[in-house]
Amino acid sequence: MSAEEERFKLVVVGGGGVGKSALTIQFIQSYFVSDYDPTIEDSYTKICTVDGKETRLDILDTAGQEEFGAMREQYMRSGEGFLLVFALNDRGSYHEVQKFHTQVLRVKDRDDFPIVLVGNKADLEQQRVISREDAQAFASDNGIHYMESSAKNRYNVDESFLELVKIIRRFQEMESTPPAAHHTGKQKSGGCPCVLL
Amino acid sequence: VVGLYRLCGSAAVKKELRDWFERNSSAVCLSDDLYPDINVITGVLKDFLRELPSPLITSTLYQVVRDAMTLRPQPQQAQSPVELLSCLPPPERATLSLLLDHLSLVASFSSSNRMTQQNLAVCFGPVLLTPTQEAWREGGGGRAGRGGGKGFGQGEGIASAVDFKRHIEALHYLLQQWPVPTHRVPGDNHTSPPPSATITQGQQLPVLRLAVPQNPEGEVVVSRRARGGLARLESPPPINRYAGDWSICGRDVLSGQEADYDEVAGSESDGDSGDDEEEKKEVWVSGGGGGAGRGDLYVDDFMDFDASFNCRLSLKDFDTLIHDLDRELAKQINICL
Repeated sequence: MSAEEERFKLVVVGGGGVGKSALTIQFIQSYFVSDYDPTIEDSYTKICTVDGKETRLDILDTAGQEEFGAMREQYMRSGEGFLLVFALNDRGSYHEVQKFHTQVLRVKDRDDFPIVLVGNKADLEQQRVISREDAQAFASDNGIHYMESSAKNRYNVDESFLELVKIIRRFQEMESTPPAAHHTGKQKSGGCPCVLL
Repeated sequence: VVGLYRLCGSAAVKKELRDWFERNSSAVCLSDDLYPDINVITGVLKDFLRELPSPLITSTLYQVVRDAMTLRPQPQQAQSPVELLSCLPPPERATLSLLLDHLSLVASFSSSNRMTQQNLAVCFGPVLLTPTQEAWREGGGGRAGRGGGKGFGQGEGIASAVDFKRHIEALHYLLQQWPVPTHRVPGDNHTSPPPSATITQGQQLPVLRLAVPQNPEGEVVVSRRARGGLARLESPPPINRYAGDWSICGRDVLSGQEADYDEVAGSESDGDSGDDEEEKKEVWVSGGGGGAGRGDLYVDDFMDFDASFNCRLSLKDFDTLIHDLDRELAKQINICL
């Protein structure tokens, strides 16, 4: 790692209305937004300490609507870690998040990448339609971490983001790529560009 | 329904419904039992609009709207939204009118569905105005032939964030100005703008192909490119297959305004009662309706005539269904709340 400040770009993705902004704002500003304004794209910065090490997080809160797909590849290319958010009470969003997962891997052109699957709205337990087991199984199959959260009750909010940071660190260490962390995304795990020749 | 048009439906169910529409849209039944999740239906509508070969809000209209927005301080100078739309070819104009009516209606229930005009504009901005269109104009039309119109094209990404916001503002403005849909916008047909004739022509050919309606994204991509920049571009018919689909929608309405459409008009006024889905339904029905028969008229017309003749009943039925559906959903919501 560089001697400079550690810095990660996290991207929060997921279908419309699942609570991406609520999670993000709860994490950044510690309050629950009850507005219902669809996000186009917002970015935040937060410095936090994970495992005793200070990190600067650039967090991109994205649009859930499929219509904004044009912006997606853009942020997917630059993101170093993804929070895939769905709502536990919305099956559509659960399917949507699986598409996001595929798309991230495709854009990154790799089989795994730092991703945390987040089932939000855990406070609406009585409306839950996605069981913890199902989501966990999907996560395990894909080698990603799964957490349930409630932006409203501030349950597992910080934990989700911080878990993602840990996963990114581990991932980037394993990559054994040059210190410039921002490069990692583009390199294949082999890392040898000569293969193609 | 909270989040109407914001939430996403299940992709699998959407696909299924979409396939059904493509097979035989007049047979599609959006009953509560079959499609209990309204978000599936709204999703399909958005997909449909988004994948039209050219955005519903053409770059010309977009420009006109932007211009109008700058006049806002002196409203007396600003044109009415209906006039603004007059720069659209009739099918587009009719479809957009219908859609704006519908969205206004939805917005008028924002206290229960939380979808204000602004929210709807955010959700529909990118549907009605594709970034490609802007990228097109600025990036030079030379790339027209290439694929990638779905917005997944790379270079468009950067500019698109800004575009999106402008698009949303424009749509929001339109929605704000749009009269509450208590009546059909009159006179749509009369002021046929010059370009419309050409365009209509252009669209009629392709419609024939509608007989095999489909939305494979790849093709749509191409067609969008083809028509995206300048509606007047006469793209080769095969590419334009979508245009047909859509002009149909428009046509339907158009004819409604003309002579034979009392029924449709009627159902629309029913819609004013606040039915969320009704109008969309109508678009769909008419859009697909043609598939069944009457193919020997104008290509286009076969669809809408079809809608007027063969599909009248089902159209009515749909309206009723949707009404019921919506009412049911509304009830549920109240309970939830």
